[in-house]
Amino acid sequence: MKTTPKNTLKPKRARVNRARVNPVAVIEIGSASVRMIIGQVDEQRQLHILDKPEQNVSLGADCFKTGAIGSETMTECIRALNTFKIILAENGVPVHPSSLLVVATNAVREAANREAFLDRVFIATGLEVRVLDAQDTGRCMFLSTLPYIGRKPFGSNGAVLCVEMGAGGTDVLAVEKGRVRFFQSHHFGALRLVQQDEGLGLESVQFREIMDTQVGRMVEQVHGPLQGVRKKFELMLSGGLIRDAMRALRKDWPADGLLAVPTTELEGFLKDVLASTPDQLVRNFRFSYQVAETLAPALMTYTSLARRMGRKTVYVTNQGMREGLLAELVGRNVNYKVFHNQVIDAALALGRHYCFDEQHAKLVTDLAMQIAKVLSALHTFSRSSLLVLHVAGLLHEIGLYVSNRSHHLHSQYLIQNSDLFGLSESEKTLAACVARYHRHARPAFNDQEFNGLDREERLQLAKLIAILRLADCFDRTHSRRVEKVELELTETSLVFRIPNVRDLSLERLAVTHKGAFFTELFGLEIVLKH
Amino acid sequence: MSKLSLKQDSGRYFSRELSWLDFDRRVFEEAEVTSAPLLERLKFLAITASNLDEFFMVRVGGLRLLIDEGVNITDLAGLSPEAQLAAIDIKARTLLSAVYRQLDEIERDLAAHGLVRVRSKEDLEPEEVSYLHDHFVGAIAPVLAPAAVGGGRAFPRLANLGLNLAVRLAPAERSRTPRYAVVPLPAVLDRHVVLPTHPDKAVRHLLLDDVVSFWPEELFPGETVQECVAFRITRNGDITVDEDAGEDLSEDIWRVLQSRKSSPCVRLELDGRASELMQAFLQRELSVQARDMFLTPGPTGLATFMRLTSLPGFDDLRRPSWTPLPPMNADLRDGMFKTMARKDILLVHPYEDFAPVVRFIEEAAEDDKVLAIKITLYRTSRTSPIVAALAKAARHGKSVTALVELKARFDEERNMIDAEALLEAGVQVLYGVKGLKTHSKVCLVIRRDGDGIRRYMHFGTGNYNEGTARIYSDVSYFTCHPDYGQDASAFFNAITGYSTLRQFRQLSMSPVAIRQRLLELIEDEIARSRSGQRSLIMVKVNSLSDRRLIDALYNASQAGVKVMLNVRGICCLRPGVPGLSENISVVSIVDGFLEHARIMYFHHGGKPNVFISSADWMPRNLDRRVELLVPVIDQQAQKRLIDMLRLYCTPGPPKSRVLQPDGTWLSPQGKKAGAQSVQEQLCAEAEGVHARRPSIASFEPVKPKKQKREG
Repeated sequence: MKTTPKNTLKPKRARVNRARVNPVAVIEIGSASVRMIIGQVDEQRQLHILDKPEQNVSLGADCFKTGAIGSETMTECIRALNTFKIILAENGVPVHPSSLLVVATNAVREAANREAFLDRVFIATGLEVRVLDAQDTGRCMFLSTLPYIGRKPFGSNGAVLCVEMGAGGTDVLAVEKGRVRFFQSHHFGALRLVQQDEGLGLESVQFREIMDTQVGRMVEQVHGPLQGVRKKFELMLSGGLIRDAMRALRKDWPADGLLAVPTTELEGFLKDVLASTPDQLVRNFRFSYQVAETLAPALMTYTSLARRMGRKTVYVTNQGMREGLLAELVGRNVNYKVFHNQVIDAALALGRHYCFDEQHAKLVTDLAMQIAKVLSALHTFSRSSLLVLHVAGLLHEIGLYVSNRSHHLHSQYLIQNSDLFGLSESEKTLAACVARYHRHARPAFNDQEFNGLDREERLQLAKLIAILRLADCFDRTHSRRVEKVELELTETSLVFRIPNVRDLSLERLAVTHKGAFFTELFGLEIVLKH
Repeated sequence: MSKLSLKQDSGRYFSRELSWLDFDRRVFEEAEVTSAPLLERLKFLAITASNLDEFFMVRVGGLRLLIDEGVNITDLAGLSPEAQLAAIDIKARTLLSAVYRQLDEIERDLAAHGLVRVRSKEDLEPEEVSYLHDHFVGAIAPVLAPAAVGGGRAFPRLANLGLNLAVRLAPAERSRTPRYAVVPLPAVLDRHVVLPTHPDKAVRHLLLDDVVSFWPEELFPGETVQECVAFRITRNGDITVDEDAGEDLSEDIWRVLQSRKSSPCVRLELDGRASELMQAFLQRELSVQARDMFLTPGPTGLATFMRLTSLPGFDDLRRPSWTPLPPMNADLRDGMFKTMARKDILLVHPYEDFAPVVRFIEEAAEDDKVLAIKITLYRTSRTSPIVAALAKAARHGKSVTALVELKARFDEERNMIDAEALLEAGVQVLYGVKGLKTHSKVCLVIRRDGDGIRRYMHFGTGNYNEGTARIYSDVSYFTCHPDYGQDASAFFNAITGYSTLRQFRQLSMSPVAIRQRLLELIEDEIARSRSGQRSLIMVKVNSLSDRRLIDALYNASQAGVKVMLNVRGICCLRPGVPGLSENISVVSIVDGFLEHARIMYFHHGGKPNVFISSADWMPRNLDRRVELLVPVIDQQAQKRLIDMLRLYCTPGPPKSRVLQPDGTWLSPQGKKAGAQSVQEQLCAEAEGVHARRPSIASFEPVKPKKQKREG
């Protein structure tokens, strides 16, 4: 993922203002369809949806069966994207990263010919597709859940389990008292399930039995972390399949996009679905064939889970990943702040798991964020970069849990391989890399991770590394001598005013060793003053 | 009438085809109104004839196909195709006899008012004979192509509904067998030839077929003409495109047009003076059965008499023409977009002008802020300003999409010409939706306003045709409500193949959802009535023949819901039957303007649900056409439509007729002196509002956008 915006001195609000004037859009290349959402924000920062076209393109049918996306399916996908480009033009959405985000999920992520697919899409449409990983999905899911947190029926102290079963996978997010309790991403998708036992025929008894077993196993996996938990979790369902089911049940979406549906009603509908052939479902409910063939496993999973959780009512939302990404694209800061805090909570929990020096970690992180804030007058740091710096700051020494020797390498490994909610794989890689270089060594050409990045990304990463190294200089002894720092940015230097510490020789020494990289990179001399 | 069993029996419904003939009868009855201006009466007579032409082409043609293919489907009334044809035959012949009797009466009265049709050569003055002969020799004969027929010669391919002369020539030497020829009269020749007359004298005119029959020998030099009579054939027009047959729909449409030229003959109209020899000859050559032959006591092809109604002069014999007025509830001086941004606009045509609809598209074509225009076109006028504006918009670089329905029956050729012109201008043209006719009337304009993208919509019940908008009663609804915008975008995305169909927020679309939505609305009224609430349904449509909707209305009646219907044409619902439909009344209005608007009202506990629609309540509209049901949410617009519906659905005013349980239609009894028809009341209302408008007190100069710099 490209996380680095251009190193520019343009005003920071420029992007947000542009998003205000121009409508923005998100295209999602999913396992069963290609969907787009176009929206614009009004002066009250309310997001209004303009259009939500979608086309059935079954990338998953290829990928889950053969491991790759077939040429014909690629062509179909490109045709759909080119059609969407017409709709974008008609709605005045510029094909520009600040206005349009094109993402792909499971099917593209898993395809052996993923790079070829992305190249072909780019050549044929000019669209650069960002392949989302599981953590991205979790973040989107959380962002789309946010509007409901703290409101009826969940309440601020409520607990809700959000589940979305798509064609290629199932995502599960547990939120309690407005905080993420856990996020799971399962390779258990409705299409995947149907395809693996395709030979049996959808209506056969054996297929039903296999499906029952698989769904039962899946439900136990999802419900596992909730066992023994006192709090009753509500069940909130999302995704295209459950939305299609709501359409078939002739439900009207309320203004907030959240429907309360009795579990028995969903079970009744499941019975109807199981009693019908796909042809009948298409005829009676005007589903696409893919929906008709994959609705049963999704409904089975949802109803079984509702029963397992003892919920007589389930909630269904029409907000999904695209809505979450769109909210992110138009820069709805309030939501982002909450999300940011969620990630920090997850990082702190990980740090505690590895018995880190929490006070040192927080002190260094606070100072690093302070330095970044001061530098932002001259350098642009994206939200994502700041989040990476924050996480890296908190976790830069968790490697000490493994060993004192080369603990920076252990920190890198632990960050890279932990489940950190809200950080994409690439963001985790960056955070791990920043932590890895917080000590003596500088980023080197033989570092595979570092050199795998493009120039802009490398530059942005180097900046984060330089900031963390510098911040770490002020608590080298873990004694928390430096409690308060005032920063001043001049044309040639960054001045640290440190009150209440008479002798700054330790810090000066540390800066001499670790601050050179900062000076070289930013062209600023580091000045320490009482 | 005895209480009918509630089980599904055929007595519950009227026959669709016979109900349609009843409608044509009501149209004809307007020609019988002796108090009406003569040319107005002649107009209704011509419409009756034109309606019958289409009925024979499409409905009789369709029934014939069913019989030929051995399909024995009964209609709602339980009649087999054969039984329907038999009943049609009786009704149609009775109607035709009445039409010719009435024509005689009207022509006699017209002659008394100075408009004389000369029927024989003997009635012509010598100078008139001379003029006509010159005209015949100079202008008519050169374009005629007489063809000898019979004796093994192929019968020429005669145009559907075209006029022809059948000529019997004396047998050749040493033969007793009569010889025959056919003279097709091309459509380029005016059917009605007006003789030059002195301004003070009566206007005298003749029919083209009569003129030619005065000098048939001149077409057959050296031959003796023994008989010359006019005839006309009606071909089966129920030929639809097979969309799976070819890849290019436009080619398929051309094929349909070609096949209509040679499809089987379903009706032969022949001058009643034709000899038995001639009758037998034509019947044999055209493969027509005796039941399909109509011997006319007067001229065939009465639809062309419509042209006489617009002859210069004779204003005292016409109803005063109506000039549509500016919008009653909107001031459009700021332009369509600004006005729409302030408030929804409702227009009722032809009381209000159709010009704002044209202006909406023309302004969109010129407006720099407009990004895209999307429209569905079903039947446009010959020189449509809307088509011109769309082409201009495309040339201005806007994204313009026009869905031109090539399958609009009998307008296929016109629509293909439009489509080609639009394609040439760079409009993205689509030829409709496969398997369905796109009958909805919607235009979407996407515009970048100061505060973001806004979508402006026009929804109509009538076509984008400024010509018919002057004589059809229709409704236009302009809005920029975001929910409608989302739905309109989703609608166009779906029909243009840009997206799968999505659930709408406000609109309902057939064939997916309109019937279901209507059934739900009726069910809601039933539930409210059963719980003791007031309930009322008022519906104005052109035709009502959908069994499920009729059954739902019967259920509503039985639940105590008052159902007031205004159905212009076909109505298969049997009203006023105790235990079945005693709470249902059906009114039909046939007047100067063709009733065309579809409006629906559901009381909904006092929070009315009001809709306009392009769809009639017929299976074809609800299952085989792309149609829209559009809720009207603006309160002022709602009130106006409700008031209109009350007028339309209440029996009593002149020109309204009430359907009886036995299927007859009763005119209001004991008309009050000076009572106005519904259309007259709506005209008076529009005039009243217009008259109350403040006159202009100051003038606002229109300045160029950029002032030329001095010096």
